[in-house]
Amino acid sequence: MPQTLIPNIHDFLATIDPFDKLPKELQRKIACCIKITYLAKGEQIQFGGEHELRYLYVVRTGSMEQRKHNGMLRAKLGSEDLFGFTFLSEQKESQEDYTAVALENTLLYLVPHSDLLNLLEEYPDFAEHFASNVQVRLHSALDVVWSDSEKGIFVKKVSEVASDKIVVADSSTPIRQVAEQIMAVCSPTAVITENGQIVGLVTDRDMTKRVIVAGLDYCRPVKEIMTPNPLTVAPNDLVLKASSIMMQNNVRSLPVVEGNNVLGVLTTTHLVRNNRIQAVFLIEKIKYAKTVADLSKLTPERQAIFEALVEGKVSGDIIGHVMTLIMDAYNRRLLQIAEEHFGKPPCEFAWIVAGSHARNEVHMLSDQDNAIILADNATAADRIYFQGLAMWVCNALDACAYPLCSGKFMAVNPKWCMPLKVWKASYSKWVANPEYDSLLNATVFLETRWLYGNESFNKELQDHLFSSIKSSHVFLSSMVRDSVSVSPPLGIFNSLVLEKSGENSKTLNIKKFALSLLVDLARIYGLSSGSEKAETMARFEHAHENNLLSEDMLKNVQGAFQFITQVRLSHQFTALKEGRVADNHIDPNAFGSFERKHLKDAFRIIADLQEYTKLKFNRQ
Amino acid sequence: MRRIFNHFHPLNKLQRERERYLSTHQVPDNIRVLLEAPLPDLDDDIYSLDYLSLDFETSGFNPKTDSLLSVGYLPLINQQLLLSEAVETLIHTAKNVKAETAVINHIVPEMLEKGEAWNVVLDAMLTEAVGKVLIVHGSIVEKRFLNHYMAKRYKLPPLPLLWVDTLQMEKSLHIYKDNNGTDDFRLGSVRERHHLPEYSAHGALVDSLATGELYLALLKQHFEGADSSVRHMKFDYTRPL
Repeated sequence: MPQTLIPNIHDFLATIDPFDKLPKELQRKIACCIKITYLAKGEQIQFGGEHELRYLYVVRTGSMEQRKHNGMLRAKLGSEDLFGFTFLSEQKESQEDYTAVALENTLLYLVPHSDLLNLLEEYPDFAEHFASNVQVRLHSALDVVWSDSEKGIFVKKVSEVASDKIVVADSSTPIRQVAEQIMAVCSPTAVITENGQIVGLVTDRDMTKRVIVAGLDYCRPVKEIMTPNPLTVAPNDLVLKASSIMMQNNVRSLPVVEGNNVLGVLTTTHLVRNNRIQAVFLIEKIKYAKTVADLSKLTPERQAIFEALVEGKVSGDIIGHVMTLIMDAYNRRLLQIAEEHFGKPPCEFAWIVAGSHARNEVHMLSDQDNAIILADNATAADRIYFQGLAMWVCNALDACAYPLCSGKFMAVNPKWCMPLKVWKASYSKWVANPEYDSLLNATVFLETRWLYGNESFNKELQDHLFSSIKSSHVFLSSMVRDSVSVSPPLGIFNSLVLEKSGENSKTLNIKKFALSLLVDLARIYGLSSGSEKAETMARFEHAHENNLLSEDMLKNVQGAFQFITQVRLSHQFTALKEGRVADNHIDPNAFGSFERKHLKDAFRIIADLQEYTKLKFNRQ
Repeated sequence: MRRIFNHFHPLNKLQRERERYLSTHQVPDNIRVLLEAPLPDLDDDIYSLDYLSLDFETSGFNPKTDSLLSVGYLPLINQQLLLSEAVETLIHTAKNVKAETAVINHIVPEMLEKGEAWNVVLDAMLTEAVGKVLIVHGSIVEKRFLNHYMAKRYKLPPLPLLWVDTLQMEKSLHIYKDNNGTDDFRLGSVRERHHLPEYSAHGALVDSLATGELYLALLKQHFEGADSSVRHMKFDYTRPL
């Protein structure tokens, strides 16, 4: 192609995803094989008989929509959008067939499939961007986001931070000899092996606690004082993941292991030295805070951690986990302080959390969802005690920027502070009459997690819920009906559609129209497969293990969930950075072609899963 | 394949003109091939024809005093403009290029020194035009310079070629629509009215691409839902002065 077309065709291509990821030279070569065509409004693209050439289509101006053969909308496309990936696949499956119709007069650029394949053979590193498989495409999108971004402080790899000084000793080695090695190497930890397999861990603290204080003979084999089956991390794990393992399990060191090779050790000292993990310090500070005022002063620190996590492009599930650990720490500490104020609880109880907090999916907008399960022998006077305690804790959480729940799903509400038997009866009633009762308003309590008090109460309640659901035929299908009543916005980027959709149509509510849909679907799969974990992805995985969801579907959903979560978190981050109140309303114009394309993929996956779920659970 | 000719259809007249041209003049082989290629059948679908969208950049309107500076063209086949077949060539010229034309088309004399001889460029274009309908936006300049070339190089009268002119098509659309008479028929303005993208740079090839896209848009508007056979197409048969 002569030079003079370059500013017009090449520059256009160079701004849109995935062409913008390609080297200039490859962009130019692709531009050279483009064919340009024009569709009048209503005109349809004739896709492939066997002899038809196949193309990747780029919308230059105008808009189009794709529909499946059953008439279901697959996607709406505007300027800079691409389609035809599916047709790039060698084995295209008939169910993936769709038609594409111009909604307005549309100028289309066509990149011939055969030319593209030839070029990508020359540049194999870039082939993934054009993968016909939506999973691969979403995955490569996440990769790009992570690798292209500046490395945030939280995303260092364990191998970059950990020490390579570590003692490895056989389990029969005498304790004293291991202690000598620990001193010699200046490592606080020894990894204990047996026939080359890692079987345990001994720290210098263990030496103090389990040997000196316990008065144990130094000549005994180290096996007797080791912590068996130690937690380990891989050198490529994120430091953040390691720190979250440390926090969750209250351990101070983690061996860095690849296969059965012990490479080094990561300790809290390393984290301090490298100043990486403010989250660890925040949780320490929370633990030792004396008053609500002390705790509420920590809010900016919490926000700083959230921003650093998002800026570091840490994956959404880790962010959710870290923010949950922090929220747990606040809530626990407040309960302890409350007990100091109100005196010892008069009867057994469990403080449980619900909703996103229970799912380990806390973010900067999360409000509080909590409840109290009282022992069945609780008296009226006992209930008054817990009312007071709950009132105090909920208000204190609010003061720490965990806003009161607008739906009043809080322990302070007498409805959600009940003896175990009443809870069970309520669950039975909801499950039996999903249509008539307020179940749909109380889905938040379909996932609960124990936080404080008697853990067995929550377990018993969960078991009761699962068994009630198992014996009901109406419950799941009514949940499905409810959850598919909202469709993902396949056409948000088309201005025509935006105007049609009524109030608040100028922004996309990413929670209502995307994340909640997946969370709801996950709940259905989690409850029907009896998943004990409540994390959205864990529920889908559990459903997959129980053959409710295909491998392919699972991977698609994983990619979609991760991507949407990331978009939402970035949106909150931007708002916080600009000093605004973070919300879930995203202006579609704020998206680049990159986000748009991948969000569309993600929305399509949600729509597919809804359809699949509808069929699956209606049949039952 | 026997065509059902309407004797008075201008296409038929053009065919007779071509035959007369070939019988009355000594015609070199490349021109003979061009004129012997069959014209479209009246029952052909207008969308199925092969086209060559082209544009000349010149230093003025008068071929006797002004120069042809560059030629750009690309084929439109099966409703697709093929960028891989696009051509743009600068023409080496002896005449002095007026400074003000360089402002418009960004062609400065130094560039033209590296250009090719006009006979090479235009013969290549005529070879590409075999069996194709020529698309231009405002055909006067292209026709005048092509006629001038035929006279100078081959001592031949203007070629009986088949043209479509997007400027005329746009004008007649406006008349039919009884529109509030715009008089801005520049390529960029017309494209804007049809919601086609703005192409920033100017040049023979960009303009020929822009014209090709516009032609498709105009065709679809003109034949919307109607019989799109060649019989109903208004080609450009005008002779430039």
